[in-house]
Amino acid sequence: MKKLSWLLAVVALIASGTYLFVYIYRWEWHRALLVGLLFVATLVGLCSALVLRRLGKLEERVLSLAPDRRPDGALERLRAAPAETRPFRWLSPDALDRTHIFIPVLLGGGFVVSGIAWLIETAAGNSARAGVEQQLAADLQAIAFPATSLVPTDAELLAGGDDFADDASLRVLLGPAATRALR
Amino acid sequence: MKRVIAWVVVAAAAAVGLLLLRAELMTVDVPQPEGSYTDVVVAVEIREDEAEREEMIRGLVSTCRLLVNADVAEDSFTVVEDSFTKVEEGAVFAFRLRPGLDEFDQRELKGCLRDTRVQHLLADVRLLETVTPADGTTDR
Repeated sequence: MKKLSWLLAVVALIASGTYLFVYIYRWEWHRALLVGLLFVATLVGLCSALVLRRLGKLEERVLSLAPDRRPDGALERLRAAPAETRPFRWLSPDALDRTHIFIPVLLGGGFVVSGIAWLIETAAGNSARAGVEQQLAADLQAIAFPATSLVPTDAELLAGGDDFADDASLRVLLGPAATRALR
Repeated sequence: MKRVIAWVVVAAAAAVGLLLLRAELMTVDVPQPEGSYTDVVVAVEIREDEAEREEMIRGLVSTCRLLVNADVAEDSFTVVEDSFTKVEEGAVFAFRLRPGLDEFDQRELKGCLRDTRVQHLLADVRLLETVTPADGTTDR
């Protein structure tokens, strides 16, 4: 398969190079450009394959010449070695003057400042709410609707009709809205 | 040593090829006598609508004639019959260029017409003949 690939690449290179000359000779420049691109692409691919093949051979030769000096038992040595566990290393005294202490301090400082701000907001809201509500109620009282209705009902109009228009006692019973309407 | 010889042979062949190509592609202006003209016949294949065949070949001709500094003679662009080859009807066109083209211009025009300049259009040059009325000779 590899030999077939090499053969195809060489045939493509020779054919595209030949046609490049032929098309230029015939003044067919567009065809020559297309075939020239194919020629260059094939040439680059072939040269890359040659270089890679040479590098592969060199690697094989180096590996075959070098003795295998790697000792066995890497897993056993790893398990036998003492495990070093040092959590929160940035809090150790020898690291306090380093810049990596800055981020944990910044995070902790932000948490504390946020708590203080929440406390202040809660206290201010609780103390101010009672006075604000009283002031608002007083302001709303001035523009509140009257306790009696603004217009008389049909029954009140009927009761204060022609025959009883001058009856003072009836006016007291009907209220101010009916009295205004009857005037 | 063999490898060096092979490389030298390849390099020499490439150099000779380039020199020959340069000699062939040199622009040489051969003056043509007054009243000369060139007749051209092309067979056209397209992958578009048949109605656009003539428009496409006219566009190609008007592009290529600029390369050789010649004009298409008035009313010379016609559809011709071709009973010798298996070309569908209306696919062979003839036109006349003035002034006549010399050997180098003929080669350039032929290459331009046969090239893939227009998408989905392939033209095959059937005849390219320069006629000089003074002595009645033709230059194919």
